[in-house]
Amino acid sequence: MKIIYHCYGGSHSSVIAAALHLGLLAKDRIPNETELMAIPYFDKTTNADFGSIRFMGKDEYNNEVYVLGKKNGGDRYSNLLRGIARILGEEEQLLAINCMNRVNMFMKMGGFSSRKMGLVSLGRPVVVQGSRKAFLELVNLVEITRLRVMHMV
Amino acid sequence: MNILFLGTSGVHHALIAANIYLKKPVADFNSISDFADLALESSGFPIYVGEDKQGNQVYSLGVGDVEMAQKSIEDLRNVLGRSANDLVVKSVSIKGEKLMALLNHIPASLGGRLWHRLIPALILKSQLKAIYRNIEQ
Repeated sequence: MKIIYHCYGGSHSSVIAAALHLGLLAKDRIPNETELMAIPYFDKTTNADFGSIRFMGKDEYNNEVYVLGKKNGGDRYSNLLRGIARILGEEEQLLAINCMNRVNMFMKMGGFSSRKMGLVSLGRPVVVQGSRKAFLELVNLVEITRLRVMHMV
Repeated sequence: MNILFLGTSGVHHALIAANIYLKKPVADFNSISDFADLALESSGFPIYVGEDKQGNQVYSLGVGDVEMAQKSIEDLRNVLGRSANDLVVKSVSIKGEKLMALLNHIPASLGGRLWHRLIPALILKSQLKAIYRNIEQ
């Protein structure tokens, strides 16, 4: 199965969710800045990455985990991906997860400053702080997703 | 094979392009099935338009950012182990496409027929040749 976590930029919440799913981050402890920055793609994407489905790894059940930045696509983007998978006869092979409902204002402001404005030294501490605040929400989202995957397989 | 016509609105120019490709009549926009159906548009799912003589399934889809969505769709096609032999994505671009996408966001209660049908119809009428050119490319 292919699992795609998506958010605005594909740089913060979706990347943390994918890292949690893959066990790259511990679920029972809020990560520090060094641990967050060690996640592939975390606060490192550019405008050219919008729309690209990027591979993050395989989980213990051999499911492939990806991340995607889709701007303001919202839940509609999940339907777009599902619709394309359906056309190709692969709908049951795909799970698209919108992470935006777990994103707080700090993540939005910090992410915008760091990625969109290029003000990394200003935005990164804010987005890291926001990511730490949202961490348990993202753990919850990933737990729900993993249960859904177990039911689908 | 599947053919997907992609535009800023899946119930206006992309839909007309799909109908032209299928050689269906498009002179009267209001007679085109699903034209200006914003409930369908807002779902985000591709809209099935028909089948061509070769048995290819033809769809229309509206997205905010066509370039970004085309990238996602082609990436997803590859992730699912498929190729351009399974799904061809054809973007349809005309003048006024961003305005039409904006008009789609105006609630129907604020004069939906005007914003979603009449003004787009005026734009589309002036851009019909451009839509034909898009298909010929």
